[in-house]
Amino acid sequence: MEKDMAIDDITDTEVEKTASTTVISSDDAVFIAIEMGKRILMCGGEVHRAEETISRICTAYGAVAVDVNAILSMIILTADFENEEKTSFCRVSIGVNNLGRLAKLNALSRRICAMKPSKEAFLTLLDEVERASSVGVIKQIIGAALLSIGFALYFGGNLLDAALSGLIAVAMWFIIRLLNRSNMNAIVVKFAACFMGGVGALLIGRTGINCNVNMIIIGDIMNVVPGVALTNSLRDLFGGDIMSGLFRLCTVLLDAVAIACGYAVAILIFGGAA
Amino acid sequence: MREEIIRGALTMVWAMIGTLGIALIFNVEKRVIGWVLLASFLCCVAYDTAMALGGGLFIASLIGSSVTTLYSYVMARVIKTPVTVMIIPGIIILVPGGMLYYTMLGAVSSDMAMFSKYGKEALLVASGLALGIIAVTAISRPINALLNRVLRDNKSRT
Repeated sequence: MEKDMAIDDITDTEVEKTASTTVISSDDAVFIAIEMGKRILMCGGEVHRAEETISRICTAYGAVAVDVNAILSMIILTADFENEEKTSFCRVSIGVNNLGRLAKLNALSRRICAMKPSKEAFLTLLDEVERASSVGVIKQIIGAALLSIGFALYFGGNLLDAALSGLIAVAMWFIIRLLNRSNMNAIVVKFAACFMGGVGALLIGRTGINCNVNMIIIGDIMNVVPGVALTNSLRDLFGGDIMSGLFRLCTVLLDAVAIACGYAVAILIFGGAA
Repeated sequence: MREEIIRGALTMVWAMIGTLGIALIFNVEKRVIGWVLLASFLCCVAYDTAMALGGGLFIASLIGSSVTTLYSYVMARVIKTPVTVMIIPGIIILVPGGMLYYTMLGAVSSDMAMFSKYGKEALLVASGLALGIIAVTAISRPINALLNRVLRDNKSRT
């Protein structure tokens, strides 16, 4: 925390220096606004938040009227800077949920509005935020294991079930990472990971160890359940962003089907869960 | 009675371990993690209390999710972080993972009784969860706008 503050202090002065010496063109302002909106959508922010961020940044840089429409896969922005009108379009690809980055980006957008950095200063700031909020491999593995252990116990398993569940969760984490690197379709990746997780749990059950296969699998399912997408889709839908809400709801349903199919195929091959 | 309390307390500990896991995966900031764990604790208490009072699955998950969402909105203002950061890990314990699994198990082992029992339960819990989030989100916008106006007025006066 204190370290973060120190970094903030240094960059604040740097930004002020650059901001006072250069005039920011409307092209750069639009670029900064769109880039911020894009990053917010990519790390799991709501559409409403992205739109508001873009519109506030444009206004801070002197736009008199801002029209912005974002859905999950793209952003369209038209900003009116008194003497000229800028329109920009941006394709957004679905990224990895990272709530820490979302919080940092949110704080960054406030600073941008207050200090109006130049494009170069903005890019350094953004780079810094991205670097400070990238998730370490170990943190993710520990998280995946804890999540499965916690929920295997929560849903009624014993300590052995939980430990095995955590073990399989880590294995599934590596499988997902490996498959994602090979550029495979995201839904197929989920299916494959769940299938292998199911096979692993059922194999352990067949060895005669006194454990409950159902509890092991439930713990692992909580790891792949699309909780962020579901919550966000509801918030988008009822916040008036019907398109994005439906978009996210579709990904939730596809994920759910992939997860169910993965485990179902494993269970069918083994002829039952018990 | 005492055993029940111990079991209830243990369940909450397990829920919070799970929540800590998801907070780590989603890279929730260190200063927020404690508040997120508290959210999941409140969610658990609200859900269990509603269940113990005979509220049924739907009502219990509705109450659990609305309490958590409300808490998240308040805390998001207090500690200055996006609401999503609080809600998503806080509410994860209400996601009916177990019920969905048993629904699927019923479907693949052609056990229609199991399939329909757990399918209905999962649907009830999920809709209660959704309704809780929606209800609080809906009332939060005007309240937030009002708060912003009041705060701005206070600032300009001083």
